[in-house]
Amino acid sequence: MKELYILLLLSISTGYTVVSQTFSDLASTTPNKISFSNHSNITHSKNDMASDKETKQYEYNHHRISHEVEDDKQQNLIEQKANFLVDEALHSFRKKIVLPSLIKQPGAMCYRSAFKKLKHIPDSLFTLKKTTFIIENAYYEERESYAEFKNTIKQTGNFLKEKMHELGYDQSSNLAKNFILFQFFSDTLEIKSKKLQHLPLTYDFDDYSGKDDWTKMFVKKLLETGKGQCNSLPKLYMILAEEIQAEASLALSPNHSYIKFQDDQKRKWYNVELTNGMFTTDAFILQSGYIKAEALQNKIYMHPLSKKELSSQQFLNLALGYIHKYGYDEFVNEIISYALELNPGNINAHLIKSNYNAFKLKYTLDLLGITRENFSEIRHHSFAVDLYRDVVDQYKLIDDLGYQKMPEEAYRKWLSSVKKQEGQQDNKYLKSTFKSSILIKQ
Amino acid sequence: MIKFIFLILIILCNISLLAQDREKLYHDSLNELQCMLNDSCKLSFKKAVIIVENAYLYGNMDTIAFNDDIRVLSNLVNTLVKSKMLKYPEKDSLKVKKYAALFSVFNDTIPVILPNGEGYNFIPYSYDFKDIWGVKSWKNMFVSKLLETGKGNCHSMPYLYKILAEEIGAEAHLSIAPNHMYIKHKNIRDGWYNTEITSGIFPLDAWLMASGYIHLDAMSNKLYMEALDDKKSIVLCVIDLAKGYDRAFPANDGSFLREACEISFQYYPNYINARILLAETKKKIFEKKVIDKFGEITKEVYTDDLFKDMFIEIQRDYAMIHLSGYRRMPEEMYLNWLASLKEERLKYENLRILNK
Repeated sequence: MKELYILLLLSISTGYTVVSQTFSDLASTTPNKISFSNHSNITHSKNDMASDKETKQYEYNHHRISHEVEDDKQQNLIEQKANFLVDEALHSFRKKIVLPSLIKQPGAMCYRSAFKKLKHIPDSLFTLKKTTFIIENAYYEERESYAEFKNTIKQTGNFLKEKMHELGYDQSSNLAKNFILFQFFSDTLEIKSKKLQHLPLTYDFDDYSGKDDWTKMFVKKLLETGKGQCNSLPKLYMILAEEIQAEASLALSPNHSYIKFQDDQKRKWYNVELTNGMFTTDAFILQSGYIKAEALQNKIYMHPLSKKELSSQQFLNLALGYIHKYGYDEFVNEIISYALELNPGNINAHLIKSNYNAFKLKYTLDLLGITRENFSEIRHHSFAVDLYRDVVDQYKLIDDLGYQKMPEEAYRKWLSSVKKQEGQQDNKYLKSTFKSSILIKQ
Repeated sequence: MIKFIFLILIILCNISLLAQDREKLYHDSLNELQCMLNDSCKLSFKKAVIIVENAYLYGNMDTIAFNDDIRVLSNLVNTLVKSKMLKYPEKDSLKVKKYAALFSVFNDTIPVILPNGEGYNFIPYSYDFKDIWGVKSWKNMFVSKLLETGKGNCHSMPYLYKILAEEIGAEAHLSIAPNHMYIKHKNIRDGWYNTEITSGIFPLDAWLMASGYIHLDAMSNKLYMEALDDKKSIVLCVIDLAKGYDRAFPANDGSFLREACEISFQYYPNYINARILLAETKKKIFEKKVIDKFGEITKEVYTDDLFKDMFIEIQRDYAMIHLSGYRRMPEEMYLNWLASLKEERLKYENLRILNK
């Protein structure tokens, strides 16, 4: 009996070693499962031994253990095979990971055609009016009418010209043109002879970054409601400036954009802050505290955008709309690369590119099953390493350009320092709620 | 009486000899600096500063004492590096520790225990509000003066910082603002940030920019607030040398200054102080020539083609300086601006550096 006992122990121990050997082989695949079964195996057989030491039981145990070992071996093989297949599959697209295309989503094609249209506009025919319409219309899945939009702008342009005439402004002066534009945004304008009146456009503090409703960013929304934000207000200004042949430029600051124009002698630049309808100083913009000297030296902020840079900005807007509506795919990269080709210093495009890179890296890591815990695994996949490097390099590039993230709260605080007399604005807003549209006939 | 006259004669001879020697010393100094710039000699900011100050001091500068002082200070910094604990998680923490130690030496009273067991307090350097631009005595701008008296200004203090950084092998960049100089560092967590030694604050760029004393164009044209590399820092010394020369030889013909400016532009074309020095020098020569030929400036001067061309050139230089965004800042305005940092500390302090 004792001999048997020893034999049994031996067989178990050998069985155990076999199992543990397979276990070590399988360690990388499913360690938990194996170690668990292995453990239960031993305790089980020990119990058996204590209660019943019959040969039958021994044989049964022996059989069961060897069977399980066999099973484990088989499973091991299967897993290895599966791993190999996955590896193989990954190998085939090793050079290039492609994000799943979102083109099948309803309306996504409209963005493709908008991109094509924008690209084919020659430099000489580039207008903010046309490009803005294309971008917004892509979001509305091409259901808007350009003629209508054009007409509104034209009417507004005529209104401005007439008002200039009425006020006796010099029609050829750039300063006068910009001043009437400024008045259009910040004052109530009337043409008494025709009984036309226009109320100032106001800043919409509700969802100003278009998080919930992207159309809040649009000039169309501004025209319809008389309320806009720091994207649509300066854009409408620029469109109207085009309409009345005034020279003005868009300029960027962190999370913000505003207007710059020069006097007729081209000696002094003026800044127009449209969110509160005020002329501001450079110092005010710098006071936000999130503009580094490098950002100015690399001309990413506070620098009047050229036509080409403006066009780059429009491509960025297209990409932003697409991302907001659908998300990231390779098309985003296509648009952003084009925007960066037009203006390699487009900081916002660089930021989107960095988001795209990060998104793609995450997608790839998910595919490979790499998480924070086993991140060192990434070294086995050269393409993933490349993507990781892209992400890091892009961050560095953005840092070197002098970008510093401005937290939303800081931005809000700064913006509210823009609109000093909040009460007055509320009052204006209340008065204008029922008649706020571009043209009001009394 | 004869003895007395003899004595005076000897003194006069000595002075003229000294003047000749000094002139030669200045030319040699310029050559040495140029040698560093064109990579023929080893570039050392400490050495460059010694060269500049030594030339003004007739070659009599106590370089041994200077080097000793620097050695003591850099040992102190190194000790601080070892003992400092920082709340800074990135992998460049050693570098940041060095910056923090340098900052301490300039701002904190540090108890030091000597090898013989005696203890004393190391008192940091203070700002000398007297003669901040070295108008009364050019020596007030010197690092050697700072080391001797413990008081310095916004020229000597950043220079000493840069020297110590060089000694302990830390990267530090000088950066200029109107009439001012400060330090720029870069780390992984915060990117570029500023260290203001004269007041011991880490100011945001907004302080320099939004105070309204610097034109936007001056910033975007890199007149100011650029992190200067080592060669550009040597160029600062070249112009210091030229200015010292101008102080040592007020009646000079301007050729030395022009040469120094030309060398500077090769390595630092947008160095505004060099541009201004050149324009001022040209103006001085022009005025001198006018007085030699005409006695005073009259309309007659501009009928002479040679003078007219000279004048137009000077005018163009000044216009360029203006266009690039430079505006002169009077002393009072400058002091107000320096004080604004302490007064509006809340607004302009870089809280990230302080882990707040």
